[in-house]
Amino acid sequence: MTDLSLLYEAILKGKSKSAVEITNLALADGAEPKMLIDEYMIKAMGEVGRRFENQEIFVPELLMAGRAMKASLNILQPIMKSSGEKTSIGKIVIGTVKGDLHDIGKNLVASMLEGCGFEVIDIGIDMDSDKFVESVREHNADVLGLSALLTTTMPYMKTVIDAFADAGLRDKVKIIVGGAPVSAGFAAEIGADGYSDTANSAVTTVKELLGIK
Amino acid sequence: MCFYDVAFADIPFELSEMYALMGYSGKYKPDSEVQAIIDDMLFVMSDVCKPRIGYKIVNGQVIDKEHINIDGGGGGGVLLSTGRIITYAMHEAEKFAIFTATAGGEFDAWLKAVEHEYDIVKTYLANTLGSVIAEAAVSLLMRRLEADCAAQGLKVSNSYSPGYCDWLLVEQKKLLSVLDGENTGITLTPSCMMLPVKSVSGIAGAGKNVKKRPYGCAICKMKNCIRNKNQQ
Repeated sequence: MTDLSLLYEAILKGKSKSAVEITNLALADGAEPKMLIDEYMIKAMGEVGRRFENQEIFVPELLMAGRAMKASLNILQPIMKSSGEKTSIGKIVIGTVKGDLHDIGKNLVASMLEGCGFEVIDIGIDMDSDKFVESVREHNADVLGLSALLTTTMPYMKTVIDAFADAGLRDKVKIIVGGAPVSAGFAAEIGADGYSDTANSAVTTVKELLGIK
Repeated sequence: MCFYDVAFADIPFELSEMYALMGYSGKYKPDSEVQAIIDDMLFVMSDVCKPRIGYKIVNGQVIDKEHINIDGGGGGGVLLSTGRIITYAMHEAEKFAIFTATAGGEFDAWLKAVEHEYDIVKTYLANTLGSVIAEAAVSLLMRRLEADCAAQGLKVSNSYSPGYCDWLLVEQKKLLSVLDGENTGITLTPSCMMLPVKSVSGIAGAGKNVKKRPYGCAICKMKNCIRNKNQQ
């Protein structure tokens, strides 16, 4: 039998290749995908998050863990889907607002959310409010993530939030904001539901907003 | 006044700066896999990174506690709303150096190629590398500016950029308008984003009595400054 603690260790240490190998071995042994995710992988990511918050590891290690988690999920989720099991814990549309071409922060957040079991629809950069509304409506998303890296583009986040109110969708979707110049105060000022300043805290914030423990 | 390419080997790039930007300090060092990726990236930098730097020295004067008026060429002045911190840092200046520094278009193309590998770890490291390269290019530029000014008996202040110290990012348009016609290698989008993305613009004061004062992050009230946000 496969030693499943090695799966936990592989995710924790961000070793994608090992995570994939152990996941495949575990499945060959008859392990249930959901059990692997719940009992080993999510717990490993929880420990990764704890170490990151305590500044024992830093962004690269956080991303490596998320990458390893995603690599295993890519094996497990199709199996779960084929047996009718739920494969994501929430759906998120994410994008960088109009006028802003930066995408690294957005991509980090998207990657961590995917690694933690969310379905992420990344609509890209330089997106206007209509596109955000259209995407959330089309995908029936639970959460919208808005990113901006410039002080000149961050006010557009309020334009997007106002567009959701105008479209009658504001109470249907939680909206979180982030990016270098964005602060918790600014998020509250423009009526966002949440704010995060790291990819890790974005996961925590989204889980809190959706009541996921 | 001129803008020119420099070799990657010429800029004072410090790996420790890259580690620090990612949060590592003291006993913490990156994972061995991360270090290996960075080593691989640095190995190709001499081929893919051609930083471009330059400055234009213009006459000007501090006109009150928050504004500097500089010669914009053609007899016209450009009023910069630099805010109290920057204006005070330059209040003895007689001349002003308007500068740009960029990791360069070749680096941008390499960065895009890395991003298209869809490996988030590599993408993050390449972006961080670019940010440190741009800052290192500014350091080289300042060394050369200081040497040029010293030859004229002038001292140089620290450098300041729009987006910091109460100086709004939109003022970047005014700065680059002063450099209009120069081959900076940089263009500005309508939202004031510089392309190539790993670029810096700014100002430094020069004069016989100019002093290099410490940066004023402790007294800056700019709520959305990345250097200040964590202190609020």
